[in-house]
Amino acid sequence: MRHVTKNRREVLQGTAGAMGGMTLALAGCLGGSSAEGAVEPIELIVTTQDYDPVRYEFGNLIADNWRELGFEVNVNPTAWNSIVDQAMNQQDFDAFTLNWAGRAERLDPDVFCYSLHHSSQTDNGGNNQVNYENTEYDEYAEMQRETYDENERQEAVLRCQEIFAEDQPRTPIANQTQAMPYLEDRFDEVVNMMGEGLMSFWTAVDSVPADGVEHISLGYPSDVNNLNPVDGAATHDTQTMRLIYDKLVRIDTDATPRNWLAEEIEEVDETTIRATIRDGQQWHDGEDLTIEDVKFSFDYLGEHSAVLGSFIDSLESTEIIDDLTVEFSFEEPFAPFIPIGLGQVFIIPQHIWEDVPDGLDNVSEPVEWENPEPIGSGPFEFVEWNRDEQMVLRANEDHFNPPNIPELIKVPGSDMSSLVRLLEDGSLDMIGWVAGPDTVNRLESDVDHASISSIDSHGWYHINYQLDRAPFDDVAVRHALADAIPKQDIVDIVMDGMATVTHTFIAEVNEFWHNPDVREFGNDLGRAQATLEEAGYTLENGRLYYPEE
Amino acid sequence: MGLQEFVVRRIAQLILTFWVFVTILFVLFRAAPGDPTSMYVTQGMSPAAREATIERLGLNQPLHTQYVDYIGQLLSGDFGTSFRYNEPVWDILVVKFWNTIILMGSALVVAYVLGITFGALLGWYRGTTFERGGIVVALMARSSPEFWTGIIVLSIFSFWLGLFPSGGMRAIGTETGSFVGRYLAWDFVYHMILPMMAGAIYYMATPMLLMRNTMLDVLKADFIEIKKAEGLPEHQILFRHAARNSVLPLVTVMAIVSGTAIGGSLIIETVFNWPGMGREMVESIHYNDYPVAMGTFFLMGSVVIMMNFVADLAYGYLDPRVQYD
Repeated sequence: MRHVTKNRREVLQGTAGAMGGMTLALAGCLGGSSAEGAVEPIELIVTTQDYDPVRYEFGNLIADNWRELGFEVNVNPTAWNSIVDQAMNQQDFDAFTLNWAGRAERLDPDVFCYSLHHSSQTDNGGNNQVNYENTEYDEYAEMQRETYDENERQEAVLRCQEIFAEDQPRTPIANQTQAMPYLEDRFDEVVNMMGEGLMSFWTAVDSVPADGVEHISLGYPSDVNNLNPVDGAATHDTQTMRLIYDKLVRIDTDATPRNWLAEEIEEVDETTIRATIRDGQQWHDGEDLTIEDVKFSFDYLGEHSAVLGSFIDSLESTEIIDDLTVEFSFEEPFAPFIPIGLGQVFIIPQHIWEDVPDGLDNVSEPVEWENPEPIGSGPFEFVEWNRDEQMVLRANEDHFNPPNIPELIKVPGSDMSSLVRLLEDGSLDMIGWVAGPDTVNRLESDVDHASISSIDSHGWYHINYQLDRAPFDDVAVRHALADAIPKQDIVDIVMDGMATVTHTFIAEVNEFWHNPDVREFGNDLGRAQATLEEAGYTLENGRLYYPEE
Repeated sequence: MGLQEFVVRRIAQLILTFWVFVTILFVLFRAAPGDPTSMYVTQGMSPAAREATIERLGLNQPLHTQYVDYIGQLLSGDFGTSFRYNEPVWDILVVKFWNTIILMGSALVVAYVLGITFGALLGWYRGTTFERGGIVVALMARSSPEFWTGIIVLSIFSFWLGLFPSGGMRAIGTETGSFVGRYLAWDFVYHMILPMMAGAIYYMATPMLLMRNTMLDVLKADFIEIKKAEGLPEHQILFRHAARNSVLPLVTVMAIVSGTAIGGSLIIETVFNWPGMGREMVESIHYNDYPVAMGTFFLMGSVVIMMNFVADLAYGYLDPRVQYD
């Protein structure tokens, strides 16, 4: 597909003499959409309006501005499924809007720095769908992976952001503000976390209910799919399982790793990490949690879990050192292992999972098991689950960090508005989903005791360009396109002020890794025009033409 | 053609209808773009893992192989295993199917009892303000989208008067007991009243208007004149003679409407946060969970097909004038 596109430009530019007649004839048929030397029309893929009105709306705003510059732009609202298939997997697109959600493990810079932009990730299905390749960038992206020194690592991450901003392979637009409603009279204290809001682990564990409150109900617009840690691909599933299963490390509210089931973590050398677990821990069924369970979890999930396995594929071996200590070895230094590897892999009981799938009927792989009564060692124990009605989790009082909430009831709603109604009539205590501006206004003014917990996400809305295609292979064009994006209007109008303009892939809330000094683009149509002019592009009858070669 | 032959032929048609129906279902879902792993791509699933998942689900098989497997499964009463729940489709759907049947079933019973009664009265009081007003109300109820009706019912009875809960099937935090216990509890009935009302208002208009029309025909018949001449009290003529003879066409309509009502439960379930089939249908399509999506369509479609079948047979049985051809 990519070659075809390149040929198209060659046809238009180079072999214009021979092909000219045909191209013009075609142009006639197509209503004059292509002419000799004219910049190819851009197809801007946006989500459908009902999937994400924000992307749909700002896509149209951006298209208008690009048209001002002389580009021919077709906005194509597409079902999310097809976007994933066509744009993200096949990489067959000109430009599309995307929102990388903020998840706990993405607070570590590695995902956005390396997986999204390193040149090794450009294969079909990889996260570098824009086919961004820059050897200097690659060096820094590798450096941040390989150095354990936080300051050196920070330096590399900041540099990555600078190079990225200069090259504009994607144009970041905004970080959404996560405004989530809750009933203030049901709590003495509500804990919140960047990028996760009230769905965070710490909300469930550290929030303090008001006196006499027996249970806290938490609404979410869809139900959990399943509670199998081997599967666990969906965000809501992970968010639920991490309450039931422990991890060696948890990502703290300030985005740094905090020892959890591990009491101590030691970097033996560049390719070896040792973790010592807390003594005397138990599974929810009363069995002792041993170091064998820990080793088993890494081996088993590494082998069978598509998602968790990908966090630890750099791991070469896991060895037991003594009753409480386990050692992880790598071929190459991998600094994000502590937040991403130890912070993501669930510790699961060997006495249950070693029989999966062999001891079960109709299950041929661990990922297929429904795990009907999950046994973990985490702060909450699983009690009961009726799909689409409620899931009941009870505080594990024997945990080393028992939650303040005695019983947490997760309530799935058919959509956000049905949840808001439940909150209004007092049946729900909090909602773990972003409320739109209308909802926020109504709840704040009309509903007693309803409060909004707000925090910026580290997820980012942006535009992707296919760098393998003309005209996006020209950095001047990308600069112009980026400058023509009305970022401030998008935040003010489309997102009703509930967002922050951004110029880089690490959000401002993620303070330690964020680079505030990158080159800024956007909100400047005049500069965009000047950039194109300087690069030799010409405008005739409102259409943009390539520079004469 | 006799009744027996008619029934046999109708059953053959029924089987053919089912086969066409499941085949269309299969084609529709496989022809739609996207695959079940697409929802997880931004969650960090690697391309290799994605391939492996597609292989595990059998989606890399040629379509005809998948089709044969699917038909084979259906014939053995197996709906397959959900892609995202890791649970047999049947186990997931059976609870939700009952939730929907009970809600929509009660809504239809209320709709038909009230609809037939009011329809008979409208016919009886032809030409009065009562009749004109009744028709307007019926037409309004029927042309208002269910969503709107639902919201109005909610605003009045839940938010304004505070009489009923705004959604869900039981109070949050109540433990669910046995199958019977689930549906016989007062808490359940209490939560069902509003959605049932919304459904009843929407479905009431059809029997009401139809009843009125047939009443008008029946009232013109000679035997009504005779009954009047006999000096029978009005309510006896109305209910015992006129109404009873007008109900027949409603049987067919009732069967068909109940089929579509089960299918149309989606909106009411969404508005009232009711854990039924309609919601499951939307969700499973959203996630490309083919087995569950096809299971929901299959169950809902089956109800419609079966109800049509029942309507045909019932009509033939009830009305001796029907010709079997």
